[in-house]
Amino acid sequence: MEAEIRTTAGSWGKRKTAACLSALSMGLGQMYNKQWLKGILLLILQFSYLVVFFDLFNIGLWGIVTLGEIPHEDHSIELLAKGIISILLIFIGLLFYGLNIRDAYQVGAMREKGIRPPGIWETYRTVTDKGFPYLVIAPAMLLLVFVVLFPIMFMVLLAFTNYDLYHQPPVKLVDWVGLDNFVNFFRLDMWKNSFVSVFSWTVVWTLMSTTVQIAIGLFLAVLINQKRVKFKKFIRTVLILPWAVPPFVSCIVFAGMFNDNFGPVNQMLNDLGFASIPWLTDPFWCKVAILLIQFWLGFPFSLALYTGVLQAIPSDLYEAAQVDGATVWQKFRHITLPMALYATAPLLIVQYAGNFNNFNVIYLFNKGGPAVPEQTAGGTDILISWVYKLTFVTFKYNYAAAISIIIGLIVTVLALIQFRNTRSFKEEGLIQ
Amino acid sequence: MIRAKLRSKLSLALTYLILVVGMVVCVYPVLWVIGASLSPGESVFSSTLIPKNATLDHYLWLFTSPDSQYVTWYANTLKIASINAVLSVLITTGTAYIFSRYSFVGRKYSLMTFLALQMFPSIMTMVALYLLLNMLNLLDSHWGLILIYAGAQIPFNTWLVKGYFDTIPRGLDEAAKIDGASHATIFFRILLPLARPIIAVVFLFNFMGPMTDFLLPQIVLTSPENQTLAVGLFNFINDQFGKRFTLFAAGSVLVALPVAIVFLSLQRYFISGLTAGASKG
Amino acid sequence: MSKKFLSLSMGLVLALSLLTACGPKRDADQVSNPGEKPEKLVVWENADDGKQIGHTKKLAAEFEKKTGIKVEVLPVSLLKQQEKLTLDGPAGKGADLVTWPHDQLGEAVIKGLIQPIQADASVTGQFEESSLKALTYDGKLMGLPKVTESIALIYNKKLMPNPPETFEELYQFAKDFTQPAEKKYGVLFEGENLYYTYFLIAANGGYIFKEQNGKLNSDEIGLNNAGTVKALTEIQKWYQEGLIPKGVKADVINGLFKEGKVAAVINGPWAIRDYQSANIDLGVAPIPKAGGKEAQTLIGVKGWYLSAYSKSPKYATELMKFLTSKEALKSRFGQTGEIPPHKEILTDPVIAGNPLVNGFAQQAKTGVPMPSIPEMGQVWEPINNAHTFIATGKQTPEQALNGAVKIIREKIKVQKQ
Repeated sequence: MEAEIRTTAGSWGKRKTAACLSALSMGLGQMYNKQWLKGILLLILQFSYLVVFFDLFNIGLWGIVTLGEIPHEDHSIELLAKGIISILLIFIGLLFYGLNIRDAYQVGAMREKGIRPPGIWETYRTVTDKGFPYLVIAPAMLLLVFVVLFPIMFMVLLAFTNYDLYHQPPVKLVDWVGLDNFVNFFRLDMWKNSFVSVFSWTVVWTLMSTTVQIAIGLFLAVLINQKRVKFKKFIRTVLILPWAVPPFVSCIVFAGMFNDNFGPVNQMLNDLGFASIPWLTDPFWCKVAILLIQFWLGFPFSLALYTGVLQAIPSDLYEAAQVDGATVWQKFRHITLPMALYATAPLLIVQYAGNFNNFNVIYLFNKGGPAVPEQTAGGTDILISWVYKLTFVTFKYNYAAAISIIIGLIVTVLALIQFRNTRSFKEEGLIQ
Repeated sequence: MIRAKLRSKLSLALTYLILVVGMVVCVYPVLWVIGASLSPGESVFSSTLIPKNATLDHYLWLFTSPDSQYVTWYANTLKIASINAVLSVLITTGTAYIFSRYSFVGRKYSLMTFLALQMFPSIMTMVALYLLLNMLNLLDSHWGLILIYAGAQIPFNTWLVKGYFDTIPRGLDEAAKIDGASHATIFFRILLPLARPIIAVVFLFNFMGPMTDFLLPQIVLTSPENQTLAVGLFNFINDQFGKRFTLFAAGSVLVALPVAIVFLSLQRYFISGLTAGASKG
Repeated sequence: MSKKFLSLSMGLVLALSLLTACGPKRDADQVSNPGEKPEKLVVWENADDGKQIGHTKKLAAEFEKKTGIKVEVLPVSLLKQQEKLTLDGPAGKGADLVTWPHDQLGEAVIKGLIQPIQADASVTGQFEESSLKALTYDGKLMGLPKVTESIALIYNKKLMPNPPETFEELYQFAKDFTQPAEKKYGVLFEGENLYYTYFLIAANGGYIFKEQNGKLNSDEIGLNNAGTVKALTEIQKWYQEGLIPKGVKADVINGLFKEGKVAAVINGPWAIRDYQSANIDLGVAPIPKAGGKEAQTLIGVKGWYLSAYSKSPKYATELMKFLTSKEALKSRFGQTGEIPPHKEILTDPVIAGNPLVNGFAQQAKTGVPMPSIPEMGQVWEPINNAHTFIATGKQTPEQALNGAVKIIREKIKVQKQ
């Protein structure tokens, strides 16, 4: 009898027995492997995980499928959130569960080879040494999962519901509606009527605001970096000032300064003998104003960045160019510019992406205005501010979520492609 | 020769001219806010930079009026901003150290993925954060707010710090390892002291964030005694009819002042830290 | 491949069958007893410079002395309360009593944020009919009023000794007085905002939504009918002749008025304090008659509402009645200058004898409440944009108004989709 069992165990193997036991419940395989303390700890861990989260999982998983059954009692949106949190927690749980099975399997394999399984002290050493990177990034990853990933999952799921003014808890329940929102939104007249103009301005805005703010920063950095310029520190300090003012304060202040009739900008123009410019009421001039404001807000960052970059460019490059008789422009064109841009490429992408969705500046300055006849979008509305206008005034949160996803996907994909390009670009650069 | 000298002089003059114009453009709006904060009444309407009948009333109101909670807001904001800055520096430098020095599953794509996820428009995500804090019982608490700030800053700042760490030669930590230094020792004793400039950058970014954010605290913090500066200031001008712009201006000047001073005094670190971090990431 | 698919689908079926086992156990455990006396009630008051909230706090203390129920008064901006209650209510952190302008009432009712109140005639009888109407939705009284606001003509006595009687005289005065080069203006108002131009639209036979059987019908929009076109043609004249600079908003109007460069403005009582700080000798009069009738302005009523999440609606209603009692509203007026739609207080010498206040009070009497149905939210932006196109001459009044109404209809359709 006994011999028979041993043979089965032999062909089946200790590793598989341990893995199966661990799959049955965390810690069992470890106990089978005679790692008692570790086994008990894992068992306790699993037990407390289930006890603590059982209620949440119970409500959350039911909630995310049904979104509630009885109005007033079930709050669909809360249930949705609980459901997502449950799923995330279950994934984290499964991760540990998988690790536990793998561990039991590996230790079982060691035992088969006749190696004594590591004791608890050794295990601790392995975890803190081999597992050191995971231990250190664990808190950050955990935060990221809940603070960054969870809200986006929430938004993505909202896009497939009918969450709006007339389907809002507690009075009503929210329901899943599949792809309806994506289809319906694009059928709306008010979407069609302004899309082309808004989209083209969004592209112009993104390219112009970012490129010019970078160019100004680089240009001023180069100017200040000249050896013969004095009071470098003072000049830089003053030029960086716009960065130190909270941006929402700046935007509101600029809205006052650009006032058509009595703002100081027009006052100054009048004093200089020019006519007033309708900064806030004419779409073209409003676009100009908002671009100017974004330059003002954005260039100090580039200035600071490129000041450092320029200082890092080896001076022998310039000296060699000098010997070859290069002009100032040639030196800039062939040394400074490529070095600077190459060094900061990923950051540039982040800046472009940021301006594409730069809701705050657009909204705080003139709420996307001025109005344009026959259009639902104002003259300075970019995609995101326009969508906000359309969906929040009409309380169509489901549409807002749907469009946010589409915009997000476009920006993300473009940015990721660019990121990859910069990386390969950089590697080639290193080989040279 | 003389012509060349003249040209060089001219170009220098042009340089100074451009710089002076740039400086005026940078300073003027700031002066205008200061002027507004000194104007009597509520609405800002001074055709001159220096207001007639300048008054310190608005500043006095902020600090002395029993109706004003400015001092409380200020204290709250400083508390949130400093805790957030310290916490973020700890998390970010630790994470960046791992990303710079170790190989592990997910090293290549995780950071970029999160960075890309943050490019999604955030208009619908506030509700999710509210519900999350509610589940954690952290609504109306500064800690809840700090947790979100500290989490959301990780991708970008980790990427910056990682870039900086990459510029510090690995030979240094390998030598230390041979001498028997532990992971933690290498991190705290060798890398961190060398990374002072980038730490200054991360610290400042995370100190300024809570000082200027008015969207999140507005929905997360309920009690007036927990409110932050940006929300309070924004409410001054967000009223349907009575925009108290001058009060807003006075409050804003006092917010911008400390930020600007800290910012400008750390400028030296800032430039080198930012550059190294961003260009090698 | 197919094996993988099979096991995957098996797993899915397993997971789903597990899911169906989930769900809350519903016991009939109604722990909360709405009739029971609560320890504490929470009130959200507007976060102003402290006058309003200070007064409500004082009343709260009195209520506590009287009933033993603690009342906590928290400042939350008037325009943010609804948004906040949407989140805070379900989270159990909402207030028992909330307040916002009545034009947001419809949305709140549909979202289920507030509940109807129980009040008999002895309570409701104290208030002006129009204010109660403003706070009634679908035939149910949703709150009690504390303030009624209307715009009126505010004039600088030095520049305009006697306010004109008719709109034509007002126009003539503006024409004679205005000198844009010197920034001198006869009469200024936000002519690009329906809120300020409604009286002229109403005088000419325009309307926002048609009232049918005591209810507003959002399919019947009167903002591009002949009357509205006529009214806005009139407004356009003011801009064309330079009587009002294009694009002016309240802040600029207030600034000019305070500098003594404007003889009269059309504005609300909220502006008075700022004007007085500039030492202007003020007068307030009803807006001059247009078309031979008393000018009918849009009035806004700020009421107290009972949160649907209140755990003790009975006592919260008691508190609401206390906050809107004659004594409470009268002392509130003394503190904040907000005019209550309370019949007895309106005839009281504190108001009737105060020319500044009485001008607004008289005007409010002839006004109509702003529509409170949620469709109203779709009206403001398009119609104000149309005003702007008319003011700047980009479009004729017909074009602009037809365009606006088209967008309003579309938005209402989307909202209800």
